[in-house]
Amino acid sequence: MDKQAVEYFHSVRLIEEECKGCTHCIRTCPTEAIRVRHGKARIIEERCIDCGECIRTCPNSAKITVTDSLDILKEFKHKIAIPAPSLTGQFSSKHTATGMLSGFLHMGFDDVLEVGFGAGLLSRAITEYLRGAGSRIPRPVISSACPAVVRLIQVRYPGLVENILPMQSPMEVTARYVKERAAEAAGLDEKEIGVFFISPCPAKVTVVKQPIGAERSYVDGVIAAKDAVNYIRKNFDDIEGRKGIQKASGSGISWGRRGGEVASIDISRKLSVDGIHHVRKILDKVEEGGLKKINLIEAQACVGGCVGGVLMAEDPFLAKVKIDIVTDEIGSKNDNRLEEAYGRAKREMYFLDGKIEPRPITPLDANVDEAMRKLKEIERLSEELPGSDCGSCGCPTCRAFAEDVVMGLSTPLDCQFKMREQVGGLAGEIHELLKKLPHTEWKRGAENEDR
Amino acid sequence: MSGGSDSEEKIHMQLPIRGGDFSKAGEASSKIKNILKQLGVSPAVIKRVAIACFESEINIVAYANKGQFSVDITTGEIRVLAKDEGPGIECVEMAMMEGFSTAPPELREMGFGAGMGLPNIKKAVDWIKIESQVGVGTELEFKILFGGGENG
Repeated sequence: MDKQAVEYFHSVRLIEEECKGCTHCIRTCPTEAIRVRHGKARIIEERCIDCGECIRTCPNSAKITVTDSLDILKEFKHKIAIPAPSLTGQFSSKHTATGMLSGFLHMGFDDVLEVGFGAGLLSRAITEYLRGAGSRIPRPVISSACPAVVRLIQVRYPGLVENILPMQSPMEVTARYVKERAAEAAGLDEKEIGVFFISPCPAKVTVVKQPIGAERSYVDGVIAAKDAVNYIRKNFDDIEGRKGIQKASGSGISWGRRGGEVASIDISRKLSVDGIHHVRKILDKVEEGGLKKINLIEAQACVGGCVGGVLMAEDPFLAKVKIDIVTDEIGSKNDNRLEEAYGRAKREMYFLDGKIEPRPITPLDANVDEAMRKLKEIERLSEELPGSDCGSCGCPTCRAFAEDVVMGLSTPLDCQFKMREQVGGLAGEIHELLKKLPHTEWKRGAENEDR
Repeated sequence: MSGGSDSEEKIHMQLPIRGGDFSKAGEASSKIKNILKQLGVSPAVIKRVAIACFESEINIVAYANKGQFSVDITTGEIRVLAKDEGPGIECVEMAMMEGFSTAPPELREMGFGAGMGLPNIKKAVDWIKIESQVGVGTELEFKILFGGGENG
């Protein structure tokens, strides 16, 4: 397979005019996927995992997420919104869960089903699987729910791909469930039904356009959570609540914050970690053969879990409290409905129908001998560099710069320190040359010197 | 650019390891792991190298005053010599047995000392040699072939 030929879709983009060429994003990117080139932050596509860290950190709002506009609704006859569990945390106590969900009907959707509903189904399916056939998966099993983490593993921890839970995300389970049910109930062709995910993050946009380990996505479009939140908040007084619209279980909704997933899965020895840099530390341990006694790791790229997504409107810590209040209120109210749906649903709907492939970063060279030569050159150059990681070369670290130079992507003089050394050398040479007097001046110069 | 010579490229590294500092444990292993990723070594082999290096590093951190890795990488294999100035191992055969540990309770409380360190290293590598002198230190040397299968 020719890796160079693979094109990756990314939902994280740069607005060139807004980028000032500062170095905030190159430093926080967990996969060192950004370089400042000619004053603009360029993303190296094969490395980007669409986690959104650069969007969060950009002081100029130059990094954005490409989502669908509400206009896309016009393309479908029957439109269904499936809001992420984390959306529950985006409103004040005045906005009831029923009111919030009914807001989507006001927006032009024909129906709504919370992804928390699918999360509830999935919790049961995961419990069943990990106790049964899934006991064969190497421990620790890593949840597949956060697509940024799954991509991080593909790119940076390819050896851990086999530890990933081979199951669909709550979003996909909900989308498939609701689409198949609507097709049956309304006698419509699946193509006429549009399912739209209301997303907390760019990674979900990407995984819909480019599914991992699955043939297709049942989601037809992705709308930024904050767009929906703004709409609902603004129009709340005109929204008519529809009874019975809130169907998710409390534990399903709790998937919207860190810890909710592991709490809803009934097995022992679970770990939950959030924030992409902490996730990396835990994955390092797993790669070194550790944490074998842990059965399941819930790893979320954003601090606080999905409530910390960059497409959210509310502070993640406040959002978590709000989710907890709502899940308490719901309690076990919807559990019977969930149990009934779980009994009816086909088991296959919970599982990935393809394999999650490793996607390791391209090595320094396809030829190992040549790769070793380049590596030595990188080590040598790194030694010469100041090690201050100043960023003016456009690379996140001096080491990354050395790699770029050896790979022919930068030149040594892109380093300000190297440049100054060179200029200093040149200045010295000029100074030396200036001392050399023309023959016509020589006599006077010599006389002066004598005096 | 190719000079036409058939001399194999080699990489040599010396990585110092501080005894007793658990907060830094894993740094040397991490460095080795990242280098192998850049060389395009297969994930399955990298996993074995990571396990062997990390366990060796932990042994030095947990038991010795100080130590170091001498790493030699060629196109076909990685060879690591983990040398420490520590208490040494009284009986190497016993230490190679699963579940055998001399770790004090404090260490076990931190999640170490399950008696799987050396057995796990042995399982991960293609070749291993241990020389130890009580009161002086331990030299653990192992080799992993890049072209190898799942188990050595």
